[in-house]
Amino acid sequence: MMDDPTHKTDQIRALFHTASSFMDELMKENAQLRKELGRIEAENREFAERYVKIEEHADVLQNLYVASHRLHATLEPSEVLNTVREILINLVGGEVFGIFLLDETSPNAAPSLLAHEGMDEANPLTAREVTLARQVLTSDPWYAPSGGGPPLAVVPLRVDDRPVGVIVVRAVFGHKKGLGPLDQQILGLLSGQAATALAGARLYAEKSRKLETMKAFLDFVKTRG
Amino acid sequence: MAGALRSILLVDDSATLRATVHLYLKGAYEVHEATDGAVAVALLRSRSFDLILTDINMPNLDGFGFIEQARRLPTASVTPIVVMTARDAEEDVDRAFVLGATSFVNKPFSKENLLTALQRQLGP
Repeated sequence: MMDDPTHKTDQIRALFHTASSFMDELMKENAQLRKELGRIEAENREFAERYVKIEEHADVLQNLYVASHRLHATLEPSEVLNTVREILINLVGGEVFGIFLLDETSPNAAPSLLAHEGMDEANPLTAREVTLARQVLTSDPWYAPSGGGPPLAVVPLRVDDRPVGVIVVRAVFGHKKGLGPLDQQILGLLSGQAATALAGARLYAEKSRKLETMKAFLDFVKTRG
Repeated sequence: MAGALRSILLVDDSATLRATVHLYLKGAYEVHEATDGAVAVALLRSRSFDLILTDINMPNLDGFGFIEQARRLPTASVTPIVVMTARDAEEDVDRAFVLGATSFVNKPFSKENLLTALQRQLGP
């Protein structure tokens, strides 16, 4: 019986069948593992992208924090103005820009230049910039479309929603392609906080001056009395 | 033992930029600040740093004068000096290199840009 060739063939067939089923199972498992690996790799990529975005967001927040902190770190008007200048140069990369104040008593008068970098002091604004400056006083900041400009940005300065001035950015450093989303966020922050910080510092300086005058007057009265 | 943080001397008159760099490098490097070249030279007379990060346009002693004087000091004769430039003034960069600068980084820079510039000099 042992040497029965039919029996041997059946045994081999059975073995082959078992091996084949096992192979099929392995192939299925392999396919499943590959699928799982693909999913994990996709998830990894997604996490990496998210990480990069979070890092970028952290950069934005850090810059906004520094800008905001610096704006309110002093009560000296010239220091506040210098901080706005520093933010425009060091955080936005502004090469040619101006900070202008409006004359609230004559709204049609051209805005007066408060501080600038690379502008012509006698004739700081072009006709187009004056038009844009008037336009943004009652609307959102204006940014040149990609590849457009100059100017690149005209941003209103507001105190309690009241427009008191504008920032005009005409050019950024050559290695920058233009104003990116982070730059626009920083300019947006300046729009809301620079004028408030400046107005606060001016009020404080004025009060201090008045207080000094009053003190001097009281001292004078005391010595006379 | 985990090594102490590597030290960087940051030389810039802009408090805004110093605050930004400080935040960027917090935890990665030990940052010491100088408000201009003269203050930085005075600091370098008493100690050395692993790297110097300096601006060009500063009052009292500008970046060029600072690099020139720093290179004569034993504490900074071979220290990598990275110049922060605000504009693409090739002449400024060339002059800084002639005086002894090692590398430069364009302002404004992101945290990643700055860390890359520093790691190129100091390693990871």
